[in-house]
Amino acid sequence: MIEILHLSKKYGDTLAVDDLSLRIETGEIFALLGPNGAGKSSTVKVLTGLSKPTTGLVRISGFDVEHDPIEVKKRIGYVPENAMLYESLTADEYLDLIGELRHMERKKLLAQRDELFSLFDLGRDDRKKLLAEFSKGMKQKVLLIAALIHNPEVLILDEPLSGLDANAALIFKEVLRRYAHESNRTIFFCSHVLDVVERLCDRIAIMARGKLITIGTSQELLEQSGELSLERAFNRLTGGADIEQSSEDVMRALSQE
Amino acid sequence: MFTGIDRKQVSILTRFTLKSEWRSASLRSLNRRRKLSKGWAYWTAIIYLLSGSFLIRLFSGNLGGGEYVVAASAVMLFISFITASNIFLSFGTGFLSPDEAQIISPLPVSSETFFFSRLTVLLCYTTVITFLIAVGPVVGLLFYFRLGFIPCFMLMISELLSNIAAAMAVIVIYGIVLVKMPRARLTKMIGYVQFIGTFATMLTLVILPRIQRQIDFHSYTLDAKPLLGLIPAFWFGSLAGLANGVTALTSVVLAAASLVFLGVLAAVSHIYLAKHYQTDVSDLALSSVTLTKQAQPKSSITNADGVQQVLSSERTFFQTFLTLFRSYEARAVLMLLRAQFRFDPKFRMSLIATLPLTFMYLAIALLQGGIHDPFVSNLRTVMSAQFIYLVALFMPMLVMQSVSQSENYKAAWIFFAAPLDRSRLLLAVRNTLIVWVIVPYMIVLAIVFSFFMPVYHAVMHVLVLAAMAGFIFQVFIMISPRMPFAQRRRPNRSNVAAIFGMSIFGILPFVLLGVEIYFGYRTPFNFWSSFVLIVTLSILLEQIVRSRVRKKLEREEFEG
Repeated sequence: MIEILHLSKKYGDTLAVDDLSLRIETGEIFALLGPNGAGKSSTVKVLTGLSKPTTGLVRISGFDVEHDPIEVKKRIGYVPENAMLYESLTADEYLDLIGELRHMERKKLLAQRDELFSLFDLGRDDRKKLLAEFSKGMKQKVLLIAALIHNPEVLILDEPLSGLDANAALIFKEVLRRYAHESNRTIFFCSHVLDVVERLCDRIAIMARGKLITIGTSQELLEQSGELSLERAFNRLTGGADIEQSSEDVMRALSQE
Repeated sequence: MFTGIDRKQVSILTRFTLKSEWRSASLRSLNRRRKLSKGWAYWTAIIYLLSGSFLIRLFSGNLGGGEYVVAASAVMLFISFITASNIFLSFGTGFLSPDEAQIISPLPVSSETFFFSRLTVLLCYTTVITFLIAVGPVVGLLFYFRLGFIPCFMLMISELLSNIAAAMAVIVIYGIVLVKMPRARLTKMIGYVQFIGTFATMLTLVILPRIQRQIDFHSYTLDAKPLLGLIPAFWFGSLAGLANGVTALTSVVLAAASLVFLGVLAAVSHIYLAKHYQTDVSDLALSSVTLTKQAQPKSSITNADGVQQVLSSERTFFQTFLTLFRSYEARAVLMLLRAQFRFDPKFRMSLIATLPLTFMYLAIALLQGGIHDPFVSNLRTVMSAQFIYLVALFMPMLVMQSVSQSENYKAAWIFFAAPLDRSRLLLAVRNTLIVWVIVPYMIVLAIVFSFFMPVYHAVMHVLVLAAMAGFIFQVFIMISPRMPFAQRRRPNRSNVAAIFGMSIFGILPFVLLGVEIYFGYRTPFNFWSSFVLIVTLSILLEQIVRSRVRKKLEREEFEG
């Protein structure tokens, strides 16, 4: 379970997150959406201990991220937006590092690692290569495996499908669904791929300029906005530009020599 | 289990970090070669061994008493400066590594554990450097001067402790800056700290070899100048002296001070830095993002929703200035160089560094008797300002080196994807550097020289230097054409090694300058004919440069 109470995060004079409060239940897949610069990544960074909250309280599985960061980190798996990895390690070595830092039993680590590698279709040869030689999608697979390897209570995913091939994305979405609903885990999901969010997530929150705009199921958001798709609902709720008018303007600009 | 320092995690992190750093320093254009090269490591090791071996001269005639302490202290000072400067400079992969902090922060690793793993890595690095530099003097003392095993062993241990103290002092300085400085100013501040570190390294390399020649060690003993006891190098020098029979009370006190100093540094780093190290370092990356966000174009307005919008129709002075250039490549390069200069502190520092570097060498030249008019003085006297000439001849190469590397090298995909002639882009970079960096630099140099010789001599001398520098620059581009900002920055490559490398490969042009001054400056005919010859050679080289650059860059692959 994740509880966020009156969270604010400032960088210098810039207020990235402004008084955000959310409660995400166990067994729930929750999506946080918002246009660029809305404050999603700043929220995720506070959740994962990458940065401290300026004010407010964040609890994960009952532990305060500021005062019990280690207990929180033991319980979370995180996939960052940018593929941050030790590129001069091999995939095997990287997962060994992650597993050992998490104090996983060696036998269990190797078993989990092999199983997840095969799930994501990474062969033995790939695993011996340096991560610097991996494609973006392959790096993303390694990050997903690293986030899942210790069977965390809470998964925090920032654009987790970025770069994944269609098969891997399909498998991963199914894994997420079963992981949350059958294994009773909490999944916090940030993405711009709205059709994935619509089909996968139980509840959706939308942020803009650091503030929470709305929260509900995808059906509730559609009703609230009076639109037929989540994409258009998102556009309306976040005050985006008029789609038809903007596309018309762009086409006119492109046709000018 | 995870509270405080977790020894198992420290050991795992240290092991993996050392492996990763060793490999990342060896990663050479994997796209092209698909293998790791370890050549740089052997080269750096040889440089350190050689530079250390020269230090044995400090002990000649100074094998006992206070003089031995002075010699040992000078060695400590040299090694500490090398280590401290290297740690200062390797910000990216060194002690403050925001990228690494971002990988480790979401894991259940306490800040103290992360801090101590980084510290252990640093101490391993320090131990290797100490061994490489100190092995020469110690072996020399043991077998050539027959000093005895225990004093030699203690000299090595004292050098190691002195080096560890230097490394820890750098960490404490970085740590204090990290804790006290507002995040928004921190990255810039660290850039300045590294800038000073660069000078410290260069100054040490230039000054220390002169100590042996110019300083009478007897007048610099602690008895003769007690205030020298305030320099930490003398504390560790005294520790080495104790093992060699220097047991005066001052030496004992200073030797004890060295151990207390180490203890204080360890305590300060533990109490004040370890606890918040992880989030502080990880915040560095986030604060740099914020800094980028705050850098708004000048021609922008804020709309009713508080959103910044660029006024595309409004022209800035720079945009107007760009219209003076007809070539698309020249305009693109000017925009790129300007943006990098404004927002990449490392690139900015590498360009700005040439000016104070010149003034530093100028100061050294003045200390050695001043700059002499090459048209009336003998070659030996003229060459006392050798370092200024070295910088002048190689400055274009150094600047080009800075332009070719970047931490944002992946952004260079655009040069490989855009329908452009890459050679034209590189030559536009060359021309831009000549007009905006090298010509102004040479003008400054001419102004400086005019204080030491008639103005027309200064101008003619600088014309020759500029022509030679231009020729060397042409050869460099021909041999090693590189797309701008398209190579991965390799911070682990030793800067010291680069300086030594430049000095060694710089011998030939340096000799040519000597020949030119000796023969070319004798008569006006000799001068102008040799000057015309150099310029003609540069012009003739242009066609070869163009064709070779085109061929080589066509084969160049994107490194990202």
